Amino acid sequence: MLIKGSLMKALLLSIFLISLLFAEDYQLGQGLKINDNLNIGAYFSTDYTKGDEIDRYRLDDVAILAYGNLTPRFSYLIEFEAAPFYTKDFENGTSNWDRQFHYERAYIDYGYSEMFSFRGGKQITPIGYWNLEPINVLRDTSSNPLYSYKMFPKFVTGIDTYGYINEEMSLQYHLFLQVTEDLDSDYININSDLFTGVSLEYEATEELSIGGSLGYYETTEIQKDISFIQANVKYTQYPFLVQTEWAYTDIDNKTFDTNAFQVGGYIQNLYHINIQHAIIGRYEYFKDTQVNLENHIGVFGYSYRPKYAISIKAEYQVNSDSKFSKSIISFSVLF
Amino acid sequence: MKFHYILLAIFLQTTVFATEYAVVVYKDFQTKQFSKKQIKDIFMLKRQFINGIKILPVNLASSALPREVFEKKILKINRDRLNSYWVRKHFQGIRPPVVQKSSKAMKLFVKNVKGAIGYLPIEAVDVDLRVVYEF
Repeated sequence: MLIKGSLMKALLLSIFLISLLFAEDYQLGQGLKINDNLNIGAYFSTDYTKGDEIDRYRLDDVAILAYGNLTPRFSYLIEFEAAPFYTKDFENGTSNWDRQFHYERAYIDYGYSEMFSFRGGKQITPIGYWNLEPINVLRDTSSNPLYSYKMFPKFVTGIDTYGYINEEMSLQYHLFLQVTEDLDSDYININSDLFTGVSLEYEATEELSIGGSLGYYETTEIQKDISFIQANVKYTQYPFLVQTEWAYTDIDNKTFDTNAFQVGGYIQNLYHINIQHAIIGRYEYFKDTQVNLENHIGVFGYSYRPKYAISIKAEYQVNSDSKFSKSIISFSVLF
Repeated sequence: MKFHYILLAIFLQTTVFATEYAVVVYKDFQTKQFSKKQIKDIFMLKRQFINGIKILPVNLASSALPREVFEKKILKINRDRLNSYWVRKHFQGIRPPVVQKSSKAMKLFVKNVKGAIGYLPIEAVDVDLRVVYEF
């Protein structure tokens, strides 16, 4: 579903002007509060990638989000995004604008109790860590691991029931179901018309959390039935942050009557030199028997945040298929 | 002489660890004492309900001394890391707790808004408030 360019631009401009007139004290990265019913935020990211087969500049994400309370128990969030907004390919000497905004998220939350809350609409699939904070400015590297966009749909258009199972609120669950196509089927990594799963996250201590998910989805373009299992662990002890996520998918291709599997994941270690500077090392593995692909990827990165909502990053990726090795620098801001 | 040193040590210790502030809710809020973790969860907006009532945490301005003490003793997180936490929450559609400009304003707010929870110097607490934690 597309939002027409001129209408969207007028809408965005109006919202920002109104925001400036009525906003309370503004802090970068925490949005503009108009009132309890309306908060507005925005973000963008830009990157430059250079490798044997790629030499590209992008204004990648341009997005605006609005959220607020409707009643004490009902709240909403809506986010529009255009990506990649502008691409300049130095390898081919071409450039391209894509100014069409899409629905990235659009949902309503209902909070009933600590044990039962409900979210209906298009929302981020509640799996692992990477998928929950997918935008460049919140990540520690410019690139995403293959695991994060090859193995399950990044969004659910449906209902998620979630809450805490125990009184200490250390064990959280999500139970989600989608039975329609995506709200914006042109704008999702994997198109599905049936998607269901359950995920658990256990906060063992303030430093250590452990989680896992089980799920099933059916793709629409080529008819595949896919089951997956996923696990994740995060350990934070400043100045270190170590996290790892892995998944396995079992793929039943109905169109070609074949079976295949994927296995993929990563382990990433971040070391804060101080609150603004950090170095990152990541190892990724991804195997897909559908296309006879097996990749080992090492990432060495540096992150500088003059303020947390402003991110400047540089990284070098070493790929076991050397033609895909590359360098990436990026700049992103959350307003 | 030794006895005087012991008395002095006891006096200093009780002074250093004396309770200075109270976490308070409105007096009709039927609830037990809160644990430190519950209060942290409430002010980090992880916990939104107590006994089925929607909770509304209230902060003082960031420069206020009670807030500094509260963040140090209860949240146990420094200001930079707290700001990065709220930046990440903003992307999830969550804003930090509302702010009142003074202890007097916070007291009035907690007394009059159902579900509100704040912190005050212990001497500012009166019969219209219920203390759920002291620090």
